[in-house]
Amino acid sequence: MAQNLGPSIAARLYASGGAALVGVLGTAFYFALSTPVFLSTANLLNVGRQTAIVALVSIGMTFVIITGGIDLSVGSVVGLSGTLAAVAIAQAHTGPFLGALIGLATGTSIGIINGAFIAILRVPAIVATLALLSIARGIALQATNGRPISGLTSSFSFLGRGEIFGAPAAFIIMICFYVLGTLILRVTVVGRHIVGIGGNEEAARLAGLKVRTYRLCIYGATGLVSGFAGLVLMSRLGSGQPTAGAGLELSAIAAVVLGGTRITGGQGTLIGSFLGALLITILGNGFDLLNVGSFYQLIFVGVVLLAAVVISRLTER
Amino acid sequence: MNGLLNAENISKSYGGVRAVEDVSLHVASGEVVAVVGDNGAGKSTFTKILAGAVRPDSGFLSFERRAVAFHSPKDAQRLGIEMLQQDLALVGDFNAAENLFFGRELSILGILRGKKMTDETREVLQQLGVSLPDSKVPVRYLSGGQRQAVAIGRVLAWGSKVIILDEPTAALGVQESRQVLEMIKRMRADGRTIVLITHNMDHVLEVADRVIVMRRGKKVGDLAVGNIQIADIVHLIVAG
Repeated sequence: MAQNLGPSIAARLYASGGAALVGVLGTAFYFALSTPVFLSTANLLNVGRQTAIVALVSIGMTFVIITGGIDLSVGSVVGLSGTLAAVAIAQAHTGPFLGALIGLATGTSIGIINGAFIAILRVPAIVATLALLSIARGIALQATNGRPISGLTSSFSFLGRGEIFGAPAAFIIMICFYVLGTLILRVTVVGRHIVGIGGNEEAARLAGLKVRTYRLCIYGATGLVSGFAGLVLMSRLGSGQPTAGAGLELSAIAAVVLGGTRITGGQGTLIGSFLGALLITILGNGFDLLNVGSFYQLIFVGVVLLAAVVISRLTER
Repeated sequence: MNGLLNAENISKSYGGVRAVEDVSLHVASGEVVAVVGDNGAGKSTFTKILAGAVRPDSGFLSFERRAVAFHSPKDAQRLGIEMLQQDLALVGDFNAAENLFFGRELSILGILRGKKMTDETREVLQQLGVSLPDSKVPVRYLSGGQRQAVAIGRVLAWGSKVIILDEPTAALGVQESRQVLEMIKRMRADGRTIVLITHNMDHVLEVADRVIVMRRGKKVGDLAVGNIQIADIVHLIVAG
């Protein structure tokens, strides 16, 4: 009897982010040929800054999806964290440090609330985080009367606009997060447990893992990272926009799935998610340069997400 | 109270249904005890009580001459009593070593010791007479017998004293069942204590020292395997 020696080559390639890599190279090549602006330094820095935000949110989303969950609230968390930090700095004059802390605490709190509903009260992740999507966005709009908060001190511009060795600071920081996250996922006991929980929750429970605690922490950490992304975005925009980050959940989910993380959990890599986030950003950027309307872009991201899930399913057969 | 694991007058009801009624069992160290009975005879409930997965309404358990009360499977595991449920305990995307050590990974300061776990896994599987063609392959791609070997190896690796196997051959073909029976024999030769739930009377005669027959929640037979026929057991199962 022939021994089946594991997943097909196509499945392995996809799971390790191969499709996203091909997509990144292909689209970059196409846009480079289509418009000279694409490869200009200014535009590449811009792509780097935009990527940083999607990619940061995708880190949390990767962990969440690996454990078999989903977090629809990340876009609203980005908006609320940035907005409340801006309110603190511009209106309560807390100073940038305390303001940033307030932003991070906001994101973490929403994440923990997500986690509590999902892990302890057993609300399906899609429902709990959909509710928080609405609640967080509502709070951001209510707190600002729907108007942007300006008057931020210039000391807050580094995150979004600063540079480290010629590269956008936000991009470098994001890369550090990715390295840290990859180490956690690949070489630590905690990472092994997280993947195992997504692979077989019952087995994890039988093995004595504190599954609920893990889930709570993962949603909390996702809130924290999304809160940080909110600060970056606020810093880049130079103001607290209560509508900022809307729709980011879709980009992040698409990035993660494009990157090879299985939508039903149990498998995934952060490098893949990074490539997925880069691909999503390059697509948006290239379309902007080619004057493709943002409405078309919405349609396109949706199609890409569906295609990614279908391809991932097909390669697994 | 002379066995390694003793159960005295165990009863358990679900609603009005008495799943287990006044069952006592003494398992000696190194013994292979088969538990047989028709569907709904209470085998599973009774063995789950032994493994801490179900709490009895009344009765007592003792292990190594000490009274014990299990609130969860973890309590039983801590003492070295482990129940193996068909495929339930494996993560399909994990390879053998990742499964074997899942939840009890070898690590230094939280960093996994991958090579050591792979080596120890190979050793444990060798003891069971199983070798995997590729130690990196996720277990979902292994045969049913190989998966069962990983699951059993997992229990062995933790030095469990009593291993409860719940129909370990139920989903397997003839050849793979044979593989599992050989594993049980090897464990017996190693002096492990085994409680085996099964429907297969041939398997009972082949690997068990003693057979417990259950019917409608009660123990209706407790026979040494040496001098009995399959017909005797079947008679007890249906008419006991």
